[in-house]
Amino acid sequence: MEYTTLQFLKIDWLLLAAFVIAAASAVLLWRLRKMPLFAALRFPVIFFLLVTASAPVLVRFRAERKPAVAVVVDVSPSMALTKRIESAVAFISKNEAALNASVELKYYGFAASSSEVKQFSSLLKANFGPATDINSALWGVRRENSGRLSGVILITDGNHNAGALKDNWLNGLDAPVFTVAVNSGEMIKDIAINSVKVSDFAFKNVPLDITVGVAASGLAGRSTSVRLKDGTNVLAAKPLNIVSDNDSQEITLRFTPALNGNFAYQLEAEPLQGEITATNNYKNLSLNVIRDKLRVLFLSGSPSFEYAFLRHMLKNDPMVELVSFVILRNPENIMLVTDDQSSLIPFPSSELFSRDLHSFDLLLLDNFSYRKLSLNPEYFNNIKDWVTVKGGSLLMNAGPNSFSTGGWNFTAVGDILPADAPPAEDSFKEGFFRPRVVAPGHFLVSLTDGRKENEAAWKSVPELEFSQELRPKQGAEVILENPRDGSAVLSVWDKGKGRAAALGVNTTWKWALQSGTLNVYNAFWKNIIRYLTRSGKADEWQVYFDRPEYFAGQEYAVRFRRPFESDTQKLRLTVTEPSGSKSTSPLKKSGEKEWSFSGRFRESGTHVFDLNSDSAGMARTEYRFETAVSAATSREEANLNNDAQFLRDIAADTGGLYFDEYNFSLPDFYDKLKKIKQKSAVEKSPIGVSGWCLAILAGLLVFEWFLRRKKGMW
Amino acid sequence: MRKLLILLQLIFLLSATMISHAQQHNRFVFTQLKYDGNWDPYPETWQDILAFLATTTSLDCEPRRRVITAGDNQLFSSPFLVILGNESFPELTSDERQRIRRFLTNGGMIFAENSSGIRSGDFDASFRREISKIFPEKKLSKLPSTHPIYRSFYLLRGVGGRRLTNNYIEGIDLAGRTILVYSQNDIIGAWAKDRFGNYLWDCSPGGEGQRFEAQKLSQNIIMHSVCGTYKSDAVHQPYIEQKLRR
Repeated sequence: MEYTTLQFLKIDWLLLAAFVIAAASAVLLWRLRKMPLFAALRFPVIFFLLVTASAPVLVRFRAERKPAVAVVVDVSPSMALTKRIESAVAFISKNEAALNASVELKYYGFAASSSEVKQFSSLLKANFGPATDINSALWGVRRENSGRLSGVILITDGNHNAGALKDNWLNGLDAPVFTVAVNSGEMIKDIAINSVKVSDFAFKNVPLDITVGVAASGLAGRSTSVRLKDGTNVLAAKPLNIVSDNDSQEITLRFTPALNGNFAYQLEAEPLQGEITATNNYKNLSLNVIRDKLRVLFLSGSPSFEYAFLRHMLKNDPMVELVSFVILRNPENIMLVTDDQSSLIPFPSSELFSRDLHSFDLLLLDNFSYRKLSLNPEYFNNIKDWVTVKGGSLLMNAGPNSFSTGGWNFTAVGDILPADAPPAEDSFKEGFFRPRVVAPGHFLVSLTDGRKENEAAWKSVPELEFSQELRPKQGAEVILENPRDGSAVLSVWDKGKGRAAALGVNTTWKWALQSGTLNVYNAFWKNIIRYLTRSGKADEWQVYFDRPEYFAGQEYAVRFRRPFESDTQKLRLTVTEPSGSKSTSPLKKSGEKEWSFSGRFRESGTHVFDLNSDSAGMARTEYRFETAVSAATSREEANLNNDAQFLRDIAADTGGLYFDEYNFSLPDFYDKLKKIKQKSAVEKSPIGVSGWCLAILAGLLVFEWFLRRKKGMW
Repeated sequence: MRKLLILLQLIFLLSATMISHAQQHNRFVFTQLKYDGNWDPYPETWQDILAFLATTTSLDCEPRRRVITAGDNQLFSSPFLVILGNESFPELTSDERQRIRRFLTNGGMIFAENSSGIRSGDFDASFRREISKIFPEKKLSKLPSTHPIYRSFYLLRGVGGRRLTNNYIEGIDLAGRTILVYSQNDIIGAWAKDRFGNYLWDCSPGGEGQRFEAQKLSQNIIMHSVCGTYKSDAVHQPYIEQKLRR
């Protein structure tokens, strides 16, 4: 609306004085009645002088604009699934007319991105991505309106899932936000796992509690179970009895990790019939399982210096919890005293090989004869299963009771050893030798830091004596060999989930006794133990992903770092997707001890990463880890209820109000709107010094002069 | 000619008692220190000791004794060393002391004995002097009755020997290991026999019982050198305590 007014901006005193003089002379002339015409001319002159003196301005005003209010509607999948978008459109329809009377409405839709829409009804079919980004939506609206908004009506379920919100994220928004929670058309039937509380890491063989937060709606009186799974294996489960239609419970599951490493597990609330979605019944859990201590079972068939030295080293290793047994007396030995005069105890074969075996990480068999103890052959299957299925580690070293001479090569234990010996008694080789490193760069031969220093260390280790001629099996990796006959001194391989090693010597104690220090001996055995048990420095690859959580379809970037030097220059990464398909790609070296890779998660589920290298012509798996990828929609479907508290917080932090669709109050709304003083568009047209005024004034003065001349007054 | 043949036989026997090459595999070797003095008061008891071990334990023993000197590189060929004497123990050179210290620090163990059976005799004083120079920071101290050496094979409630000079044995510990065991009871002397197989010496005051205790203690000392603190492990304690209570 427009209107015009006349304003007088100032009074010029000089001109005012001229007006007074002119007015006085006009009055005088009129009184004298001599020259009424002149008097009559005086009045218009006086008039125009007055006008000029007061600087009149013709001002044209536009009517003030209505406050601008943005209506920002969440059209994310969670709103669509629960039909809240329809409720939002209905809410707008109901209140639009009343709002339009006093405010200027602008409509926006948002999900992962946002955009203005001309018609709010078009929000029903809008698609702005698979996430809810309330932060970007509000700030985008503010930016578009140059801060001239008097308020924002935000209609959303409040389930922001596009990145963490900083503290005070609404500071500077400069407009009150009126949050409106709309309901779904009908009661949602849904169970959702909405939180998982667990320690950042777990200890192997130590029970771990996982607290699972479950929200259930519309399913009062029904029951299901909450489970922890590793693939198809259920590791822990507890029942969930839903009490009310809006139920929220915490279920604590307890399980004991049996392997160490990085694993991906799945939490599941078993879906019930009629649920609006089952996607939010699942949550992935990545767990780093480490050892509190390595549990080593050291069994020796007879006391010896090799046993004594290794036992002392293990006993003094703070990372090791050692349980050892030595067969001090064979059946053929004579006992000269009664049982209570000897310290001998029965060998607990049943406990060790049946009940307790799973609690150990490493089994060392040092010249251990099963024949003399008449061990149950079933124990060998237990050992094999413990290595291949449970991930245990096994090492056998040389001796008259080891390998073929001990009859092991016809047992299940022999099957999992990476090397065997010829069946003849002459598998033993006399003489002194210094082992030759076959796999330089392998962790097992890292006696000291630095490649050159390490080579020098191996060239100066004391000679060993005697070796058992071991032949590596297909797929085994030979680390050390006897240079005299090329037999494998140390060979290793991965067997199922575990590792096994064959050591063809039993005089490594010489490395302790005959070296200047114990360093070489300690380093050699520590390497073996940590390598076999995949712990400590042996497995110390550090893996860095660029995001804490991934969804199917997302790209990822990962870096691998190893803290110790290695000859490994070429690394490959094999990614096994949940469907089983594998892809292998070379890694790019991005630093001295760092490699990187980027890709895309095509599927949701557990992805297995194998870091492989080539060493001495053999492929080797350096490190294996898992990561879980969630389904693309799981972000949205994680929580289908309104987050009323979050909406209240937004309103409170911005000076707005929280409503639901039934209690929206226009007076309260207007009251809280920001009052913006709008500058009207004003058009000013000065009149006093306009050309027309001056022309009329000049004409009057000229006419009076003409009359005077005619009358002869001049 | 006959004398020559006897001489040759003696030479052969003598050489058979010594290992000219330090090859032993992982077997236990009875290594004895030779020094300038009466280092070998019982030249043949080692055979009986090894035979006893072979009969009663699973320990795999090298059947021959190894005799070395402190300056011999073969000092480091086997981790168990016996030092006997009943007269003064000679003053070692600085290099010899360092070698013995390194031997003990790197895992070796010495069983030393004052074979005179006389407390604080010549051997005792001189040996203690040398040990204090090898390990100035350490001191010989009594091994408690709960020490693993008393239960490494036999359960010993006391000590034995040819003479019960002390009712204890002494030792030095280093990094959780007993690296030196020292006795003044002439434990090895309790084994000594004449050529007819009769024990040379009576054991006083306990007689044959005391001798048997000595024999068991010497076996325990050797077993301790190849087992370490094995019998201190928790798994053994309930059994041992039960047996000790009987």
